[in-house]
Amino acid sequence: MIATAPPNMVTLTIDGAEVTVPAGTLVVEAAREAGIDVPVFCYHPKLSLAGACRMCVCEIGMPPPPGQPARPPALLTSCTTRVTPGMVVNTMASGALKARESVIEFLLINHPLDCPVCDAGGECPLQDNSHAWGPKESRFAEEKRLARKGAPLSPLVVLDQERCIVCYRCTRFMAEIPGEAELDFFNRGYSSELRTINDEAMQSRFQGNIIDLCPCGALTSETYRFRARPHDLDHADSVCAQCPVGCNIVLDSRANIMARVRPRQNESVNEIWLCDKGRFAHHYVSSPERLTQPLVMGDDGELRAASWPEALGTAAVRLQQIKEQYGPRAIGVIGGRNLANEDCYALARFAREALETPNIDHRAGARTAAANPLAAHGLDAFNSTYGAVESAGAVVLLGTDVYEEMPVFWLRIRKAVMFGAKLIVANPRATEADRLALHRLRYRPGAELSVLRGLLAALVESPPHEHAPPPAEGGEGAPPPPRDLSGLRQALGGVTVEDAARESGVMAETLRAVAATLAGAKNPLIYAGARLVIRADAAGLAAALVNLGGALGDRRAVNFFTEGANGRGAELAGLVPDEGGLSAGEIIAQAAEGKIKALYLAGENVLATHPDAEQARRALENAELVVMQELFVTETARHADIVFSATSLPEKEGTLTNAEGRVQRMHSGVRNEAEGRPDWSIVSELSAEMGVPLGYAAAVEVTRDLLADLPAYAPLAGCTIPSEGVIAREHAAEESAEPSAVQWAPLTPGPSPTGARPLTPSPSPTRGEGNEGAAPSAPTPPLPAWERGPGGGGLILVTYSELLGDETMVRPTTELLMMVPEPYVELNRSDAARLGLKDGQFAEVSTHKGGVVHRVRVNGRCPEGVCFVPDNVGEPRVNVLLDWESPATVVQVRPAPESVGVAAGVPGTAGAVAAEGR
Amino acid sequence: MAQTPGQPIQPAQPQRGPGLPVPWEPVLSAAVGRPNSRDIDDYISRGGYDALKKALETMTPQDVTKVVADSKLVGRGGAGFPTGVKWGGTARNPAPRYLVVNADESEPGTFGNRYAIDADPHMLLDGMIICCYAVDIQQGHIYIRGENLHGFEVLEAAITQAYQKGILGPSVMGKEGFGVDIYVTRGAGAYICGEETALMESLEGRRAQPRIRPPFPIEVGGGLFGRPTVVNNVETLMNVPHIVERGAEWFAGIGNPACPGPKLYTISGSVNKPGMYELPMGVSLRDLIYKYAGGMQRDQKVKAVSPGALACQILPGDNLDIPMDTATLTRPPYFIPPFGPVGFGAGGIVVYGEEVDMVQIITNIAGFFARESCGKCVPCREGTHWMLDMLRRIASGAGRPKDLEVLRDVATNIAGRKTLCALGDFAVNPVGSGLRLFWDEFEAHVTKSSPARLLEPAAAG
Amino acid sequence: MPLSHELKDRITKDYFLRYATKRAALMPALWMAQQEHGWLSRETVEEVAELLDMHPTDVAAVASFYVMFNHRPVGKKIVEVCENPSCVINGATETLHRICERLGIPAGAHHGGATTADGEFTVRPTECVAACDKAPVIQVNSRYYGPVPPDKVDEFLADMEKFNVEGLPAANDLEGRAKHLRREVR
Ligand SMILES: Cc1cc2nc3c(=O)[nH]c(=O)nc-3n(C[C@H](O)[C@H](O)[C@H](O)COP(=O)(O)O)c2cc1C
Ligand code: SF4
Ligand code: FES
Repeated sequence: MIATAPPNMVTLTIDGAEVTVPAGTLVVEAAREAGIDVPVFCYHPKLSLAGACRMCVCEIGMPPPPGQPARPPALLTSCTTRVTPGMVVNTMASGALKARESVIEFLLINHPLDCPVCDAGGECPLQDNSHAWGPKESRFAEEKRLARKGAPLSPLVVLDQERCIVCYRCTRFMAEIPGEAELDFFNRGYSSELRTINDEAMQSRFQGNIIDLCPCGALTSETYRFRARPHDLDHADSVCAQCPVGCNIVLDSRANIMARVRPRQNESVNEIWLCDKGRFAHHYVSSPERLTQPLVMGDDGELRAASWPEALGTAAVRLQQIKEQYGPRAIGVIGGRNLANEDCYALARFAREALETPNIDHRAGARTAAANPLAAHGLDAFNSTYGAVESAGAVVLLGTDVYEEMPVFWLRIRKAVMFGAKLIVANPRATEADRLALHRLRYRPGAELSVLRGLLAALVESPPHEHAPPPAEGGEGAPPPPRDLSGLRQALGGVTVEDAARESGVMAETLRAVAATLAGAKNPLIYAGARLVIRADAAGLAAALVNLGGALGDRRAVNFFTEGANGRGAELAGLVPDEGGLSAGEIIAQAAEGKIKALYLAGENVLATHPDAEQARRALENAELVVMQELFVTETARHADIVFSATSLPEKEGTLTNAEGRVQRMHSGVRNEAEGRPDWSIVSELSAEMGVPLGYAAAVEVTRDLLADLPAYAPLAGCTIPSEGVIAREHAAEESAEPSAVQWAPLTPGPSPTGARPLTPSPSPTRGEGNEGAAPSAPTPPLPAWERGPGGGGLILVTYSELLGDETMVRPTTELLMMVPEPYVELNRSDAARLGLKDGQFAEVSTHKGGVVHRVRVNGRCPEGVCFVPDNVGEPRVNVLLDWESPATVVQVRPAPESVGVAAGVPGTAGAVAAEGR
Repeated sequence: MAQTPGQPIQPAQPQRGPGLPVPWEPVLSAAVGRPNSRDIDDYISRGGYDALKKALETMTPQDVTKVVADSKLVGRGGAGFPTGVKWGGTARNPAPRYLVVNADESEPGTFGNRYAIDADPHMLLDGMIICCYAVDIQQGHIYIRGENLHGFEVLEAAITQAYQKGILGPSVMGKEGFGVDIYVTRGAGAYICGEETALMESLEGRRAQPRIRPPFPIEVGGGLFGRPTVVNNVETLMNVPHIVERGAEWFAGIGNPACPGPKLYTISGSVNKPGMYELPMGVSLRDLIYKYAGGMQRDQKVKAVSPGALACQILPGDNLDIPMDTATLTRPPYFIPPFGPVGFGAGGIVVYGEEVDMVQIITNIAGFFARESCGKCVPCREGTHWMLDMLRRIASGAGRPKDLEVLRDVATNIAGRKTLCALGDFAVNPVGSGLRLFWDEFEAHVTKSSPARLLEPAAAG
Repeated sequence: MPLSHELKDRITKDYFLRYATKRAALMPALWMAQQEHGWLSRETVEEVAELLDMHPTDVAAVASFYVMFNHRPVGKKIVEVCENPSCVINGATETLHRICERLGIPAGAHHGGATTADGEFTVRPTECVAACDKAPVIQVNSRYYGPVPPDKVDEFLADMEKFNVEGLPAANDLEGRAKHLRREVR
């Protein structure tokens, strides 16, 4: 990282030239600055210093202390030596050259020298450095050390121990960056060997990075091994399409087939890291299962191939019919969160201009119309940058499993914690982030609002102090006054910490401790999970979050994550309900009732993603017309009348907007050789068919339009997007500095949507004020079964997505599929005991809607009364249990016969195999 | 003379001999052989903890550091760094600070720490607490090698007694605001743990691989748990109470003025009376062998000597009048490029008689360092093993004439501070010097196949 | 077999207070675990890892660095013969061979440790145990013994019958040490 403050500069001499660099710079970096490449193996700017390989030695002389004779220069490792004024570095001194030559000799004596069959060949620092610096003849006459070759460290990474030069890059990465020390050197000295305990498969979701870090062919990718030579590859700079982080990547292809994905450095987004999903899940692009041409439902009820004119014509005619017969409000459009900005923009225009429907949404299952609930408070959904977290004094994670949801951003949060940020994790269930948390808040599912109100009440009890003004000349400044939170006290309407504790299940002293931590932290940042945005109480949550930010000194501390590779882009492109329009969840609910007649689904597999599979099925069955744009014939597509074959993101030119609102350019890595068309082009032609031509012939035209047209991107109109991307903001970034001007959002006491008991504030005269604008309170849901005590039998179901599910885009990568966990239901130890279930047994989880049979994982992650099933693994998906109409899901869990379990557990994933090793 | 288990062997009694520079009376090993010498009451009855009391009552921490600096005490662990400078440097860095006692003593040929701890553990604690006072430290850790179980138990018992007497705890000897805790941690069989930064890694629960320097242990970021830390050898600290009590001048007047003081010499190998002898720094090799260690077994001639245990360069047996001390053996003419100083290490002298096959012994030594390399640095990890492979081949009669040149060059490629810690240099010292001194013997091995009497047990791990 | 509660208690109540980090309790924890079970099984490593908030691989990798931690079951008595110069000059190589011969361990098999069929003895070479004045030195369960030149091997083996070093080394004994006196540094 480059220090921002004007640093002390140091001037030294490297190979005769004077170089001036910031104090603290390593000699190897200073040399690079001067254009001199000192060879390295173990040194890596992102990792701690090891000084292990001794390759980078240079002759370094220090100026003698005043009055003392000069000392002769010494051979020092330039990767561990920091510059000092007047230092004289000779990178090419004969002693240094001899030392480097000997290091290469030592590295090669036991190396198998199997470069012809090594994947690293051609991009191997060991090979390059040997060529440049190594001895020209071999004099080793002893027997070479034999070790494991081609040994899998996991389904994804293969180790060749004989090639390993023990530079500790991989082990340092695992221990320092994701903090998962699951790979290490065993034994010592000459017998050092890279291993996992009992040679069990690595579990990390970041392990692919060690392949990039390895400076020789010791660690290779199972999916890329023996597939290509580096000089055969074509490269395209793109952006990862697997999650909202928006990591920068290079698509390497050979003969128009994706060969591998590599990270591309963008210090603002992914630095140089990728998660394994982003790195490995690219085989779907060239999968033979891909849809190659449009499909149209025949009279026999079977989908059959159709030409583009036929499919477009049919769709146009039938959409027109429905529009005319039932009115445009009978059409619902869902999709866009996994499409490019260009697709989203064209789709939004098509929906508004040709279909003329207000029922547009990109958020599967959404219950509220406001796509960005913070907009009501004049804020964007995400108000900081990823990088800002590094200088945060405290980080709050609310209702998110950030490791699974925003994997590469988690690495940065982790870095922030390593830099000293205090981490507060609030979740109904323990997550990876809990390991680093200072405070862990385990609240009742759905009780986020109560937690926030508790924190606010605690802050009102003992308000934080204003930031100290700069002290006056010579004198001590007066201690800053406590912040005036009287407005917030009113907005809270008399809710006490104890009330909130009772409602949320989090102890009052914990709430107070968290509030104290937050009050004492500089630049706290708050991140809320994407699933909170689409909940019925999203507006209330947003108000509480904004108040929390305000109470801590800056309302812009609040950030919502988003779902899909381009959820934020879809939101900014206008794929959100218009005034009076329906949200995605409502569209499906109304279609199920036959009120919505036509569904237009762009890359949205609603049967898998709508939180009520049965309702989604009815919606598809009851709709008169279902039109889709898809890559695969998904289960949803089987119900469609018309399916357009689309191109995938790696095949596209265009832009994506990541969760922080950063617009980034992507270039197509492979051409679609079948009859797939980009989504923007499909809607553009369809629109023209319907008599409303959008007039786009190339992606750049759409980009140009959307930059000019959309408020968020307006400042970018006519500019080229820089390589590190650029942040788009819809709302003015200015925040009034005057604390008295803070707008306290009214807080509406009401039921939490998933069954925590409604908040009952203590009677207070000021209460009415806080209730202004309150929605009519929804009927109180019955006390969930688990609260009725043992014997009630039921458990509250919590679901969330794993980073790696057996999804359409993952399934074609068989190696990655092996990393997908076997479907499971997670139970607390005491619930498991009460239900007579043991770890590894099978259990049936059921509601009135249906049931799934999964293997039981007993651990301490869920609190008593709560169980967890991931919602993107296993067939059927857990959404068969959910009821969209009722926000809380109480499930019955009971032992299932082994035979059922085996039948239900194995298909779909090879996770069963991988899970053996757990 | 097999001894009973659990009952440690008593070290050979130091002898007083004529010809010593000053009237000589052992101080570090005075209690050896005394019944109950480990007991705190016995120690106190001998004037123990008086020095601590003197320091606490009559001296400021700076005074204590100054007297140690003035005494010219240098570390006895091997590096020979001035102890007073180390303490002063640490005290200048911010608190909290730690004291770490290096009781890892693992180098073949050294065994002074073992006997010193066994005979007089309180002398060590005394020195430690004085150090804590001088440097303002509240926590001391003793890291003792895993093999020395007995020493561990002795230290634990001594610490318990010291707590009971109020000599350790929240206020040492009733001194308000000065509290010290001492803990003992066992190693588990790794020579590299004697290297101070590897030791701290081990103490922190890691693989004992040396750290990069700077930051140095005395600095923030370099010491134990990242705090400024004094690392001292057992014997170094045992000198401290005597210095505080008798003054810097007394100490500086003992032995070689360049590195004065009493020294626990240990001598073994082909001598008749191997053992530990406390003598002034600078006693001659001849006196050590013939006056104290009872001369050579079977009256052999001295063929060669490892003066500071195996990590040093081997000296020929033809000059026995060299003073055995840190100052002499690290300066010209005992600084021999490209391998640097001969070295005195911790003063464990191994003597090789005429009957010893030096090729075999050097192979054996090379095996030790190859097995004990931590494996972090490339030259040390690969080079030590390459040297061992070549030496084994040569020793077993399968050597080729050109092997010797390769061996010499490989040794130079490791030597000269090209590695993180000194183990790389240590490994090269005996091989490089051995080749120089016994070239003929090596040549004989590679030209005519010599009978292989392998002294070194088969394959190394 | 799981680790005892006493052991876990001791680590959490005593050792965690000694060091500034949890993982610093690893060496004592491994020693105590080995004392309980004789060796460090997968299960034991996992338990230690959980106790110290470490990854099991991390724990196993640290343990593998140190030769005194056993990664497979060993005999009740571990007999180690020093293999460094002072001892070798005085006949240690032959002593080791003779011990192996007497105990019925095939020559050469001892490297890395060979255990007698009855599980009584594990014999292996060791580095210098710092008692070179008693060369050749033998160590039985970390108690040293010597000198044992080759012709004294039978005497040594007979003597070993009387060895009272049952089981493995005792862990740190804190009996009598005032616990309240110990404070945290930070
Ligand atoms: C490979 C290696 C092994 C060492 N072994 C020991 C040892 O066993 N005991 C010891 O006191 N110092 C040993 N040292 C020296 C220590 O690193 C350190 O210099 C010493 O403990 C400092 O204490 P002192 O100043 O009191 O001598 C060793 C150094 C190296 C490089
Ligand atoms: S010189 Fe050898 S022992 Fe020392 S750090 Fe390097 S590899 Fe490890
Ligand atoms: S790059 Fe400097 S030691 Fe490895």
